[in-house]
Amino acid sequence: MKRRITEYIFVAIAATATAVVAASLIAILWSVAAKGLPSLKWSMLTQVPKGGYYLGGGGGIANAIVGSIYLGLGATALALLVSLPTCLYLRVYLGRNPLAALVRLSLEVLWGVPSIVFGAFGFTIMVFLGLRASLLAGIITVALFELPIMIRAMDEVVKMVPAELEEAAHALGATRFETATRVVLRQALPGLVTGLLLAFGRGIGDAASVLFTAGFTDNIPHSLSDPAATLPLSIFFQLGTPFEEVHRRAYASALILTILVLLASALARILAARFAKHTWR
Amino acid sequence: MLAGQAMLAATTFSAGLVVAIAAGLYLRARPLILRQPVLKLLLGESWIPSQGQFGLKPFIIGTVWVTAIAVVIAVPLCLLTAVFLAEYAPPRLRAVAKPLIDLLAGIPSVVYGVWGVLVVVPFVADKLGPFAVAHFKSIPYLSTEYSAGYSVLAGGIVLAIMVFPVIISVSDEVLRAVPSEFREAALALGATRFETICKVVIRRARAGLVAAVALGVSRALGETMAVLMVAGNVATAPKSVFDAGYPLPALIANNYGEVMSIPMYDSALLGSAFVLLIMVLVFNLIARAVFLRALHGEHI
Amino acid sequence: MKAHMTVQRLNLAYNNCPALKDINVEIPEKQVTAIIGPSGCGKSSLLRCLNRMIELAPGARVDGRVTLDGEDIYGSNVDIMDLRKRVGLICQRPVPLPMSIFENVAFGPRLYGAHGHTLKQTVESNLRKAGIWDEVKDRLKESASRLSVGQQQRLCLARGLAVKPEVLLFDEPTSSLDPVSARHIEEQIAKLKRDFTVVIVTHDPHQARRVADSVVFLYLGELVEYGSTAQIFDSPQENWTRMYVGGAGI
Repeated sequence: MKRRITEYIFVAIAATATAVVAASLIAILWSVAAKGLPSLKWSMLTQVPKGGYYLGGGGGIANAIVGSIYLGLGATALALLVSLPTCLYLRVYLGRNPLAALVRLSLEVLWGVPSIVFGAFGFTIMVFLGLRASLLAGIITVALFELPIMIRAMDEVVKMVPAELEEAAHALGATRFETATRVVLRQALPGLVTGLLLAFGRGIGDAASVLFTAGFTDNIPHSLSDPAATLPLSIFFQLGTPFEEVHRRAYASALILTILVLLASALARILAARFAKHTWR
Repeated sequence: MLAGQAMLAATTFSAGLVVAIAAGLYLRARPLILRQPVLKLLLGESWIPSQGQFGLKPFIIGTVWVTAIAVVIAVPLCLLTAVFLAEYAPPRLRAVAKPLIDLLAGIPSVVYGVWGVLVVVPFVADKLGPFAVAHFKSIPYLSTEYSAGYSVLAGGIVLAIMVFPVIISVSDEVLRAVPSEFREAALALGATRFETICKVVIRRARAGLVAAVALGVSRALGETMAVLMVAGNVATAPKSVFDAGYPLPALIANNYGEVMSIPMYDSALLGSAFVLLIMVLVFNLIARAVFLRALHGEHI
Repeated sequence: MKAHMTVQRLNLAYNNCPALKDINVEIPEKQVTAIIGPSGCGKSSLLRCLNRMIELAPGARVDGRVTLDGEDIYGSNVDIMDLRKRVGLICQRPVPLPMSIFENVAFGPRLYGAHGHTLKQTVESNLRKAGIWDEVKDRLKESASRLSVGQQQRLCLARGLAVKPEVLLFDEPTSSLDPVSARHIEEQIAKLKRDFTVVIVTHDPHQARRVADSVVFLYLGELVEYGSTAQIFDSPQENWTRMYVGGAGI
């Protein structure tokens, strides 16, 4: 029957599309692992680039690994400082106020802002504040970049807190602040942690935001005003040299970065799945 | 209460950030805008900073090319995948495929770039390029004489894969949100699953699907690193998918180093960032309008 | 009184939890058969076994035979889409498809290739049969979701009629409606039996008495008794039946 056949063809096409999508992921992970694994050495993790590293000399990328971690932790903490109160305020203080819709609209637009624009803006701030390219400037910029990502993830979770919970707290005489922190926050906690991890993963993986602002160095940063190397930039620069040996190290660095990010992502998803069991319709 | 005020401050900051970014970039770009007419900047075709020429047209067009190619590749694949996962896939397959696809979302831009250089660029240069030279001679946009691989096509392919998880996960959610009663009503009239999906489910989920695609395009517009590594970065507008292109984000990223050495260069680059921001904003507004129309338009 | 459909030794389980046990009934042609019983006794499940919609429920397993004009609908060669065309289902909550009033009714016939003038005529005649033509004839292009609940239910009836079924299944068709709309639907059902075999599930024994020619009484997934309306309500054979209809104050 013609209608039957149409259906079979369609399912076949749709299944193929799914396979293509899944295969592209596997292809990427496979390439990174296949190219990166052979060059992955302990020294890459523990040593900073020695002189001539980018020409094929010795050393590792500890500068970038530590730099990225410092940057990621700092930026995520800073972003958290602003995101969490924003989400809670939106829920508990603004609630159905039409202003809340306006704020959410603005945040949605912010979510779409490219990371390079954040980088450019960060550069502007840097110059304005008289900072040099440094860990601090990088942290501020990446924090701004992570802000919409974190808020979006957390907002989703905070929205799911049942209204009855809030009402019950108010009925017991809690102030809005107490409701926000002791009830809504607690209820949404696992999901909030998920949002945190998600933002962290995106933050350390991004290059464009740190390009102008964090600088680059072969050393591990010791203070906020030192320039900081980051994994994405390190990969980029290593790939930019004409030496095959350095390229191989770039692949290994890419593998390290991918593993870091995937760990954060996976952790985020496990927590999200556990939390999702609370949803009701 | 003090704490309440602190939270209000945080919220105000978050809400106002977009405006602050736009304002900040505009102010830095102003010196250049005061010296040269805006249209010349936007539509000018040559970019020679040392001569004070800052035409952005090739870069805007480059951005459009890469994004368009990515959309053309991604949208059909993603919608088909979302339909398959939401409507046909057995639960176990879904449980494996979904997290796998979501994992794609976490992979950093540089890593996509690395993969692009390793796999996509040679593929375009060695397989697709020759194929096009042989067969596509007379098709506009697809014909070429030679491709080094570094092209808007390579950029589009990499971008497409980057936006897969965004479009798929939102579309999947949207499709699953369509209540089962609609499917049952159609099936009870003797429709096949395919007919039910096409005529009822997708119809009902239209607005959400538009939003999903819009989200994906938004991501694609602003992507920097991966595209920078594979698109070729030649400052002329591409004529075919096999030509190199130079999207706006790549321009900004590549040239930040010389920012202080040439007069007005920093204004030009920050102005480019401003233009990019406006492009994204405008796109968002249009997408929102389309979304609202789809939502209220017919029969929801 | 010829049997249009028969149910033979039907067993239904959801994830190995039995829901219907050894059901044997006959559905007479061109009559209204009502399935009654207390909540949760399996009435809707049994109804959905009659057009294989039960297979959409997760974990559902059907054993036994259900015949339509003598052929087992669970046989291996059966075209399910065709079956559903022949045995239509109208649900409890009216579900207007996300399209115009016209498109709702036209949905089924379009699947089978109807178009143009014939299609328009089909839509009009079925809207008339459902008793709603006069109310919607000027607004066929409007969204179906703008109709009132009662009108939507009649629209769903028109939609179901448009595919020219032989059997019409109604799952508690009036429980979402106000009494006036409910009466409308009951009137339509009474007229429908001239052309169709009707099976109606209802939790209201009064309604069964008003509308049905035969009654099937289920309790906890088992068939307690079935027979003509007169028999069930005036001289029930089983104790359960007596208690149920007696308790309803009939």
